[in-house]
Amino acid sequence: MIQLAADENLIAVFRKHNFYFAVKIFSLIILALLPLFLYPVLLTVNAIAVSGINYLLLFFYVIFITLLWITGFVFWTNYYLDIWILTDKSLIDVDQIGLFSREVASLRLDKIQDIKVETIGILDTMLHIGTVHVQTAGNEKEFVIPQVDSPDQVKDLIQSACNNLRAAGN
Amino acid sequence: MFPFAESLSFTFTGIPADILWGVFGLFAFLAILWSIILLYHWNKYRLHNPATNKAQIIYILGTTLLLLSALGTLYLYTSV
Repeated sequence: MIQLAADENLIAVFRKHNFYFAVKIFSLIILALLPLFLYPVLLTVNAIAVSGINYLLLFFYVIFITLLWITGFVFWTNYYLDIWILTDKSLIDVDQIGLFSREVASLRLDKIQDIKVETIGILDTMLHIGTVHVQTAGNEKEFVIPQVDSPDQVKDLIQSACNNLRAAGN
Repeated sequence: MFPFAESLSFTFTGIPADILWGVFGLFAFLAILWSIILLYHWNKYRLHNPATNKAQIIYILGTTLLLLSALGTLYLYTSV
């Protein structure tokens, strides 16, 4: 769990735009509907001689739907727990790579030298989705906030937090 | 309408009930295991993620309902 220092205040929490999560959920819904289209085909097969076949098919369909349901929540977990936390002192990257894979990196705001916003493609432009690159002075890893909602606002918030920290330091 | 269906040369006479109950038992066990893993993540990393409480309720209700439905349909099939 991320614990902030006693004198550190939370400013904002960023996460990826929910559009990309919605696309994944939509693909699961399509998968869930596929067997319903195959059902009429199965009914034409004369080789099936089982009483209560509909219950058997329904059983396997429910198992399949339960699998998709759990998969949907695994997608949601990876989406929702993958966050960037902006405080008045640092920017924390909580990278939820998978259920058993998690990386937490922290960058002090006074180390930030440049913030760049990148928006590529029609969809990203229309939905105000973009990637924010936070570059540091040293050889430290560049912080990248990909597919974030309203990247310009994110950039402004980080920039403003940096300016406030520098002003308080002087 | 589906000519390829008639070309099937085998006759499906069903799956033994024991195997189906075994499949269901194994699946329910795995589903519960995954649920514990998901709930663990939501509770451990819930800081700054307030929607995890709502997600837990929806997830538990949905999974229970689906597993009960699978149990119900299997019971109906094996008792026919």
